[in-house]
Amino acid sequence: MIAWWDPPADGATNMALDEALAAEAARLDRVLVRISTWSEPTLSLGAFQAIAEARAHPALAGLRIVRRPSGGGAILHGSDVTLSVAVPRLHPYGGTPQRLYDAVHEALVAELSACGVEAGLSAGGTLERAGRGGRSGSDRVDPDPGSEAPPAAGPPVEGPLLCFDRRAVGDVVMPVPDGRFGSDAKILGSAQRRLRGAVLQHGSLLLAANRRVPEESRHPGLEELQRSDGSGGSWAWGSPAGTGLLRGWLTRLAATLGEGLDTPAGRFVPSPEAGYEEGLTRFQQDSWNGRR
Amino acid sequence: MLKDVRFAKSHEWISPVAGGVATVGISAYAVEALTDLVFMQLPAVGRKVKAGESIGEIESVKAVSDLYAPVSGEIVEVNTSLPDQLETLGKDPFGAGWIVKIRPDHPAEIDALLDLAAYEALIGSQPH
Repeated sequence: MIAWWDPPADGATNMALDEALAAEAARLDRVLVRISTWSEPTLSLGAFQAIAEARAHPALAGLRIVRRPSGGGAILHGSDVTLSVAVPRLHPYGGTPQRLYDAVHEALVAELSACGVEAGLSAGGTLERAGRGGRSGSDRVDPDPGSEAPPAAGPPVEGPLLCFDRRAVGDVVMPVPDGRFGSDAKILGSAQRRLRGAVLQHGSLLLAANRRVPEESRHPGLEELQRSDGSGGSWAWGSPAGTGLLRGWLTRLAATLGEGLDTPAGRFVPSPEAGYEEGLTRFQQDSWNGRR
Repeated sequence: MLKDVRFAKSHEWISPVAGGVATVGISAYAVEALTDLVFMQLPAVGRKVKAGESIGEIESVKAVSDLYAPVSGEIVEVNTSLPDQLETLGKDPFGAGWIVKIRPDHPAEIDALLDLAAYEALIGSQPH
């Protein structure tokens, strides 16, 4: 497994690099990982979410928006770290979606436990919070610009807009001592894009609450949850604790996947055939980001 | 019927050509692997596609998967009821769960795909 620690980048760059990561994983037949952060507060939408809903959300006004190739709910980036894992389809963890999902999440839970932090895996279900709408208006429009009228639309698929308001089986959660967010809070969720040659899994670890959004809409991160537990200390990006956690997480993940771990210096640079430039153009365009 | 169907390695199946048109769907194995389907996007009728080109997407709770054209040709019909009845994909993937009908440019492309025995060998070797 090769893992790169990339510098902060904007949404389109991050998404294009991740698609290229998947192309390279397929080409090289290697598990590739990119750890990244975001250079500006950005909302990333799941592949099929309606952009109108995001724009109508009062807590998200004015944010840059990029649409991910992966599924799942919207994520407000800025205080999280993104773990992008690309696994060849014929790798033992490239089969059913849940297996890779669990491998990444269980590795984090184990590393948190080693750090003295109590966390676990969600049994699933969805947490609804007042003032946060579900997904709606899915229209099944073919994005092909030359296409004819789309096939008939169906009923919307409901669900909270934001990933951290959702609960899927295997999400990483932590107990909330003061109970403000229920009995637990989600700190890591993931979603995949299953391409012909590789699986790309995006995971977002909420290191700290995002202060860009109003407090009533804010999700607690690892830092706040630890403080509310009386443990204190910073887990933010670049902090000793945060960096140690990420290194330990990577080490455990590589072991789970049956891989060695190589962390070369420098950033991930895709080969010309990985399609990075083409992807970057697409992720910068409204025709992609606003396709729903 | 399955003995006449051919499969792509990306898990789409395609029927023999009848009246110039072949039917395309995804295998039961692929449906089962995805689990909990929540959304599907179909291509538009009249679209010209090349073999291996993405013609649609399926979203499950945790994953989005592309559907690929098993052969080159023109989409002549789509199963428009499918996105509202995604359970049909699991109940009858080789019948009512068909996805598109395509007029192949080169019907011989179908013969180059996997037969049932070869496809079963493929999925038997794949990770679960």
